[in-house]
Amino acid sequence: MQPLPFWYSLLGFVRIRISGDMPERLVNLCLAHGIPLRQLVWRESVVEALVPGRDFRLLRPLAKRARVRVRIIGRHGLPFTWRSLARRRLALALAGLTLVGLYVMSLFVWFVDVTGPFQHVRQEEVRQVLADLGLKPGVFRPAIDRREMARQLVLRLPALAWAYVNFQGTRAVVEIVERTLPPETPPAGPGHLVARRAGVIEEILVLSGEAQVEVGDTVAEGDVLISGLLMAPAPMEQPPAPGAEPPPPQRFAWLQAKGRVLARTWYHDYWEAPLVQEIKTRTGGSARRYHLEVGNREIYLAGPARTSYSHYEVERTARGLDWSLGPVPLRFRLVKTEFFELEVHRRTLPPDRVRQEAERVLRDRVLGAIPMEARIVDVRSEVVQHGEDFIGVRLMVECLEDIGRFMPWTPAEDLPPDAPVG
Amino acid sequence: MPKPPLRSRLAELLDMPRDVVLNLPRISVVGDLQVLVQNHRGVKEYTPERVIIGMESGLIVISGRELVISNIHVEEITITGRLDGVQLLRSQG
Repeated sequence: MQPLPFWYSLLGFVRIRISGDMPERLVNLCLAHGIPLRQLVWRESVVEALVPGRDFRLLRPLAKRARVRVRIIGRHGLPFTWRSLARRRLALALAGLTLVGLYVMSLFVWFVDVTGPFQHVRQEEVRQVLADLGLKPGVFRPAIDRREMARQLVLRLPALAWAYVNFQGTRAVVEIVERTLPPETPPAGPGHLVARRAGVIEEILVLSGEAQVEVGDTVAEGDVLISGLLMAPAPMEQPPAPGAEPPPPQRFAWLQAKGRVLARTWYHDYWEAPLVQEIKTRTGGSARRYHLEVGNREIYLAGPARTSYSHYEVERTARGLDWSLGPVPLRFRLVKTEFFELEVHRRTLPPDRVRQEAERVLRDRVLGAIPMEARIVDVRSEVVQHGEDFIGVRLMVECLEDIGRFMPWTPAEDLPPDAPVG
Repeated sequence: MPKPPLRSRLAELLDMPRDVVLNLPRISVVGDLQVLVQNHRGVKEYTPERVIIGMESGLIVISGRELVISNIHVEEITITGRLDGVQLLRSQG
């Protein structure tokens, strides 16, 4: 079959079915009136043909004259498509809106991916800084300067050497390269070794400098343990007279104090544990409430507004979108709030058990504060208060640890110019 | 004197195409797929096996299978399908 010329689709055409004794008669009448027919096909005693849409109305009187019946069995082409679309104006408008909506949505960043080894910096940290800089789901993409964003990211996070921000559709992909940080350098220059923490000296080993404390001494935080300032006895022309005060020692040299000062240290904490315990169990009664969250508004859907239970637990589950467009929240979600009725029993616990429990809590708290290098020597606990419905427990942990901390010292200007430094 | 011979002689004399002067149909056949008839006088009969087309002085009988009149207007008719034969029937007298 020959293909139809393109203007058929452009101007529209109808497929007609001619039934009657002599369909040929109508064909010849059409010829006489200049109505072009196409694709005349014989189909079991009827003839089907295509007629241009604007000629169809001329066909009716001719069919009457030819004593045949003409029926439209299909409309094709642009005018008919347009007419049927025009009848579905809402659908057309929705389709248009959808297209516009898709385009507008595609102008925003909906996902932020951060790729990198994350050895010195955590992914959440990078994400947080990016969010502070303005790159987070829901931001307007054309407003973002990628180069500036990458530059600011590297400036804000010293652990980064390089960053690159790229957009793949609605996805922002941030690549980072971490800086290889140099190992921590030992402190340079002179200084003292001071106490990091109060304690009683157990052992002292001086590598350089002069010990200022002895075994058994009690030191407070900040006390000098090993001095970096070496003192020498003042030079004397003649031996001092017996009983006379020796001249004060003189500064000799500035050193970097080094050594190990083991001390006994104490860590303690206090906690009041209730003797009466409230046990809450679900009775099995529950109520559900549903509401829609649209933007900042809540639209109530179903269920009781507030619960009649005197004791209850609440569980909330939300489904849907929770984005934001700058300061405007783009939230559309269904929230289910479930209330579970509770039964409350009061129970008085034996003080021994409460104490054990308190010790366990305190031990966790205190151990968290003790440095890794410290050696635990003793753990003691005592009940220091016994109230009507509580007991106060105190836990003390004794440790053995190196309490030395280097404190750099800037030599004062009264130092003799010839004093060796090192 | 009958008309056609005069016209025929005139056409010869003036060196004009005879189909135009004599009002004769022009029939083009493309293999066994298509027949194009120009200067016709309408469709006399149409079935999938046979199409009869009128001409000035008789009929053109096109036989075949699955015949479709793919295009028909005043000037020409195009028939496609599996053609078996094209026959000219001259009218008597």
